[in-house]
Amino acid sequence: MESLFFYLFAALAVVCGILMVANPFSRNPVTSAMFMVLTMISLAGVFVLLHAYFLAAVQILVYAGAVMVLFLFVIMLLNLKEEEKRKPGWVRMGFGLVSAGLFAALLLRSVAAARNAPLETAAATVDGGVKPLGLLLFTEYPLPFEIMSILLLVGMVGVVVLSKKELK
Amino acid sequence: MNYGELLKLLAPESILALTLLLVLGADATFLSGRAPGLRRAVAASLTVAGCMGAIYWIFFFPIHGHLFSGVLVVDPLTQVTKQVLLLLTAATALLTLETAFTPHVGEYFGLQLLATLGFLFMVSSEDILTIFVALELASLSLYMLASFAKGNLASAEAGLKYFLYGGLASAFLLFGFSLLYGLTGETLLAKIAAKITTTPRDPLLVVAISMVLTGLGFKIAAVPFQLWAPDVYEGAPTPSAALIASGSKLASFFLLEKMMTIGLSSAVGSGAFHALAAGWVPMLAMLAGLSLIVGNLTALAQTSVKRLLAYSAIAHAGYALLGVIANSSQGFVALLFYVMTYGFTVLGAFGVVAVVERQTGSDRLEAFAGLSRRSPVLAGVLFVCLLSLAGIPPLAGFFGKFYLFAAILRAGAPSLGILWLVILAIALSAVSLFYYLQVLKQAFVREAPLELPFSVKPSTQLVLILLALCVILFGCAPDLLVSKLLLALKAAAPGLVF
Amino acid sequence: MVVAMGLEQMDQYAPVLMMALVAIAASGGMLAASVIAGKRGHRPAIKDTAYECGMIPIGSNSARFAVKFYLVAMLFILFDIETVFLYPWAVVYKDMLTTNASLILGGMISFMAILAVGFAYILKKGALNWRE
Repeated sequence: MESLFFYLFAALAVVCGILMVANPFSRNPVTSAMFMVLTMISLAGVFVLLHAYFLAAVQILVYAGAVMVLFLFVIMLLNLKEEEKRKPGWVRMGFGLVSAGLFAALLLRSVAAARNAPLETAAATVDGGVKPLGLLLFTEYPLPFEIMSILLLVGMVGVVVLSKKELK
Repeated sequence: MNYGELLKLLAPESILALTLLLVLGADATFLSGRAPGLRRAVAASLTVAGCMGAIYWIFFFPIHGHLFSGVLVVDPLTQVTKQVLLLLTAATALLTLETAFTPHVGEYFGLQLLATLGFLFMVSSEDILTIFVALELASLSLYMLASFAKGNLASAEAGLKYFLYGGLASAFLLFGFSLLYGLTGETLLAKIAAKITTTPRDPLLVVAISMVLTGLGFKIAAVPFQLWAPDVYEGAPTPSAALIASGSKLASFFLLEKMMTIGLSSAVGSGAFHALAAGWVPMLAMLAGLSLIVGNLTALAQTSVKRLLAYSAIAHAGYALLGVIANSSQGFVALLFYVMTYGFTVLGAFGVVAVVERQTGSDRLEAFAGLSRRSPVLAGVLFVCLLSLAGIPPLAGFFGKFYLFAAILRAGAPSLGILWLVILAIALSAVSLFYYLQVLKQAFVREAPLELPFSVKPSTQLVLILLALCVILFGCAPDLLVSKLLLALKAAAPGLVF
Repeated sequence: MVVAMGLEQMDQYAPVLMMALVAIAASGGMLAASVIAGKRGHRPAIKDTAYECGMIPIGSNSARFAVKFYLVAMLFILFDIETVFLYPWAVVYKDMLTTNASLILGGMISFMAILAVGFAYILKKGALNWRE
């Protein structure tokens, strides 16, 4: 049952991801954004299957909700309609294909290796509910938590400086 | 483990954070609407006072300890590095007084402090989660600093390019980190290393290493991840470029060295010519070779001095990588000496460029014509800094390179296989002299059409002279810094006998 | 109260799944029903043009957005993320108060203090002020 859902959500995430960047039917950026929402939601499903319940909820609240609003605002702000078709140069295309191919080969090899001998990946030691996560965050990782507040401060200062109209 | 302990170990960072709040607060409240000159002076003095306060704190209250078994590491080595980082920021803040490109004074100095906070956290953590958050803190602040001259198209382009490439690099780094975590189930570097030896060598590990190197390669501007550097150095406001070139470089190299020698100590490999073995050393050797070639040869064709410094920075990343490749404590010390002195040197060079740019409106080579008569002090500083970058004895740059070569040759002594990289570095070092001399020729030989003397702020003069003196001092007596670094490294990692 | 954890908690997602299926079925069914049962309107090209002497519209139909919306949305995300951290904190607060009170209190106080300064800064700069 669980693996069935995993394949469902994973396939959905991959298909929506492809449709987001290379949709053959529509080149409207809003459509891409909507497929991005679907990708995020399917990823949230995968997180649930991994017992990362809090992460799944946050994924939907923050990414599928707030971040997507931002994406749509940018699309409206720039008044984008149809994305222009670009013709990539041969050299660039070649470089891209070669590096992507090499990478894909490496990944395939590691997948093949994992088939023969299942990876000894350490299974998650804590459950991904809110409480274990909170305990972990506040007993072992309070430092990154504090740094996060400073990071958010950078965001605030940056937003105000870069997008506020200059006062005359 | 309680909060007081955490705060005690984080005292320098806390001082810096308080300074930051003070700078932002003062500028937004009782200084708002005042003359920009006054606001700049207040913000700069607060920034410098904060940095100096943190340095004094580290100096007079040397406290060491590990919290959360490595999430926070405070040892002599990180403390020395932090002091140098704080010095670089203080100098940058004083050089910022030369420029007047933005009405958002408090934010500009505040972001410099925020970037520095990011550097400090990068230096003092051995945990990939914390490292990533710290790196993002530094990067976000630097993106903002690069695009700070909003009205200037070049600055906007610089900021956007830096941000887009940087975002991609961060994504790679995060992916690499998550693979490392997936392979080992640990976030602490030492524990990751312990787990990697027990699992058989895995292609996924190669993917993880190459992704981590992509992310960190971007931060140190090594070829082929250097595309952002020339545009950012040229377009960004000069103090921002100076901070990116000095502080960011030092923190990133420190992080890279720790990541490689602690976290991936069991996946070293070999870059020797006839004994290639998979691992991070051959990957870094490739990056170093490419950076040396591309950086030095492209710099020959530049007419903008900031762009020239960008390509020279790429080449210097290549030299510094030799220290990481050496994979020994000697290499670590050589690397730190090199990157620290490089920070002072490049800050001096950027300071001169900032003054010349403000007075002539350009950073082309021609703008430097007649500098020796228009401002002998600036010309002298430029002379010292550029010759040190070229590696002329008895300046710091020469000994930096010398230690690097010595470290790598000693580390590779059994096979001498890595010799090809050293030969390449020495040959290209000679090439680099040519483009540095091009600038000096303009400054000392050529005549400007109208040789009015430059007016330089006393604070700028003081900082530039101090930086140049540092370069000369560490050139004449490199042992002052090297012995300190060696002692610190021994105290920091007594078990770390490479 | 027993806190459901592990596999049992997964079962709690069954209603979520049901809900999703119902939502998909409802919206899909409505679309399908309107296609099947609805009457197709007659819509020649001339229907969309301006009436008789009206102006022929020029330019695009989507108006440009003010950057203020974007500003507010960005600030919203920043505080949204802050709230995300508050949630696990609140859940473990009571437990940690007995084991490690200084860390759980001090950590959150400094977190909130820095963000409060950020909020004060935003207000002072008038970033949330709509008429400017």
